[in-house]
Amino acid sequence: MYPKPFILFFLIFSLFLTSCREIPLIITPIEAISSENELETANILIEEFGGVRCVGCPAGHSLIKEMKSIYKEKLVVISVHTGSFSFPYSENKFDYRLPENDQLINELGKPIGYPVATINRKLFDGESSRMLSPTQWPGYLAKVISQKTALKIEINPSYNAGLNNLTFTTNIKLTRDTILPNLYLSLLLVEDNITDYQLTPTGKQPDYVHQNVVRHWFTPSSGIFLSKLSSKENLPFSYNFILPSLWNTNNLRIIAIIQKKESNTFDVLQVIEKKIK
Amino acid sequence: MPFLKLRFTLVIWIFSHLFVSVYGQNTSDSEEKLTIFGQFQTRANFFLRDSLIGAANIPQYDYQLFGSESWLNLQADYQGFSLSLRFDFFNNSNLLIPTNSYSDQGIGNFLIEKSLDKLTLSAGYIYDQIGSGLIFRSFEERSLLIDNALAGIKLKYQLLPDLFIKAFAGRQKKQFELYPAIIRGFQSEYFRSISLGRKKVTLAPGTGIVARTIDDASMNNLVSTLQTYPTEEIFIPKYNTYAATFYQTLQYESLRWYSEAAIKSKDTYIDPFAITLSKGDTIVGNRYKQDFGIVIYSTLSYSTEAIGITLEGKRTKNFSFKTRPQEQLNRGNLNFLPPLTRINSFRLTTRYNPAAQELEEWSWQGDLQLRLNEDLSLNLNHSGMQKSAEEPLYREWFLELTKQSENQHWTVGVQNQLYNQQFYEFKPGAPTVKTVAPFGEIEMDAGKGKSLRIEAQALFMNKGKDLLLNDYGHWMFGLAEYVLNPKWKFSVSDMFNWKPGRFSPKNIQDKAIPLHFPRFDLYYQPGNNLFSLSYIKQVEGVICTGGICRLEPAFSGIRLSLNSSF
Repeated sequence: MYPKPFILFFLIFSLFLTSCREIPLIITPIEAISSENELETANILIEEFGGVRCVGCPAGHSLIKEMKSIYKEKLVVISVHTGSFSFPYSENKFDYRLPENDQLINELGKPIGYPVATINRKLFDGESSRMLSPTQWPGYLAKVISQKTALKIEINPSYNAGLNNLTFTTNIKLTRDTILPNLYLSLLLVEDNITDYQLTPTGKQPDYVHQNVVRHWFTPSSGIFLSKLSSKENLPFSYNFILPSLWNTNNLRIIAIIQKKESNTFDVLQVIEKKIK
Repeated sequence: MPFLKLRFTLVIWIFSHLFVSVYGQNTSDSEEKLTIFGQFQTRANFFLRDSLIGAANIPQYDYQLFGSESWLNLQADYQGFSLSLRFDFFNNSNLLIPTNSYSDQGIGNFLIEKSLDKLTLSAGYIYDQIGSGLIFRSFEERSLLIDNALAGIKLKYQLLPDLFIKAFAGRQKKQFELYPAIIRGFQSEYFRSISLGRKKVTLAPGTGIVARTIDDASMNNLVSTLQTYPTEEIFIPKYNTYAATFYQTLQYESLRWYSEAAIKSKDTYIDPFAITLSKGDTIVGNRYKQDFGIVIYSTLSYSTEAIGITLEGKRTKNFSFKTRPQEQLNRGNLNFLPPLTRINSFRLTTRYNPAAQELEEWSWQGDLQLRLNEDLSLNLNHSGMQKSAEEPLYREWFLELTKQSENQHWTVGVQNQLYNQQFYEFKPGAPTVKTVAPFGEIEMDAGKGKSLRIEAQALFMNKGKDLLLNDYGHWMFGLAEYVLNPKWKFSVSDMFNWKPGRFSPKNIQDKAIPLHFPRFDLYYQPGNNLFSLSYIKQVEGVICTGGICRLEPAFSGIRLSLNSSF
């Protein structure tokens, strides 16, 4: 026998088994936050990418619903139909794809699979992509939820039912004297509660209720450049849009996103939403 | 990155000292000489948009139009030192994410090794494995752009002539960066030969243990996600996970038996098929879980000149072992679960490939090789994969006959497959695919280095309950390859979807139409350089390498490649 080598062998082997015990973490379920938003605390944008043929998307939608029940109005969600799973079925009532959606995903970087979402369009430390898989959403949301902002956005919509015409003004202003360069504004319209076909793990569901679906971009999805922002005066933008008759005006919301764009940065600094009526 | 800078400085330092030494000494001993050798591989794709086959809507087809990948390996040996270095270049490449483009370059691999008596030191990007890789395997697989090298230190000590111990520690590579989790491991192997009269039995047992410590950022992200789970689903994740394995190879004359059993301590993993009840809805999809893992794997083979028999079996339970729980698909794998399916080579027999399952799998394979006479041999193979007792996931029966004469080589055979497309490709409602694929090949030697090879294959698909042919329906494939001389080779082939199925590409009238997927290749090999120019139309499909699979979109374009060794 070879006692010495075997002693050495067992000595090294046992080193791996020492310190097996670690102090356990304490995890408590997260509680819903107060619906009143703190002054200067930014809202958070979750931009979920998928489509009616994306079988994993309903699980993502469910997680978003869960997040929304925790973070309430602080969380603004948009569902962007794009990519290979967004091609509509012949049974679909609508084609939710938009050229601006494709431009957006091309700008932010295509994912390895769906569903994915960006959180404030941020590239988090240790990640190689902004496109995050659902298991990462709550963690990164918690990381940015206390983000402050010096931006104040107001949306003032006016809907004319007779003409089915939507008019709105967006006012943007700084809440304090500061310099925020390279800001871009995106404005879009989303619709909730659309009952339409969706692929789920049990097959094609005809009565799936789609939420937060991007229906129209008032600006390019990459945004329009903001200049002359100040803390003294509002920077106004006005838009007018005839709504297609099949869209349910009770379920439409306008969303305004301000992002900072620099070389490889697209970070969202503030996002707000307002129902059109 | 500091690590890259450090590596680069070190590389320059080592190379410069090696050269100074070699020219500073005047020795005739061949072992004292500096030897440098290497390989170069490049691939350039010129993308040609074809929306009908699905080669569209990714940046390369829409506006980038060109993408390339290149690797240059260098290895230098001198006075017991071994230095290897690899430069990687990616320009609008679709290899990392087939639907996106990736551009970057840098030192993809760097390793210094030095033997000091019984000790071998390695520092840099390490490729290694323990046993068959169940608890640890760091490797490179270029066709899927997997490079799981361990950036760290490895020490190997030959305790006895027939016993070594090995220890390593480091972090896993992620393109040109590193994952933050710390990996450490230990391995030992022993070899013993026992005489039984005139015959010998050899034993080669081995054992290993690998531990991974999750970084704080990944743990915080995991905890934040768990906080959103219902109380009854919350678990306490562990920073440290341990995986241990024991394996042995026993050989007695023509009989060889390899077996390995691995266990893993409680570890957090993503269950992509988890069923969750959330606010009254039943959700199927990704959910964190925590459990112990186990894999048992064994292969028994018997081989003589006339017969070769191999029997394999594997049981896997909760054995996803990744550098951090957030990683999915082929990313961040610390281990490798060997697939127990036949590695096929004919085009239509490789259309359906089952990926090895990390969370739940029973799989088996039997292979019989018979030499019927001097010219004729037979190969019969069966493999299967099952998740539970109820539903088969994969079955394959394969029969092949080969006949060799003086200047002709014949191969004929047939393959029968059952492939659960709904499960492997996560396509809800997709019926189970059942195929019969006959194939034949003849290779004729025309003398003076000339030869002709012809392949003919067909794939017949089953129908679903709605009487539609499943997946892409029936296929035919033909290939002719002519070797003009050792330098020039030409190849032309066509894969024809002659009876389209439910998932075949459709035209603007939403009608599936028969489509051709032709390919032309031209090869030129002067010396150690192999140039190739190809025009390719390739159907979408699951591409697997050693049990690791991913869905590859269709390809349309011209490909230029060069492989050199020096």
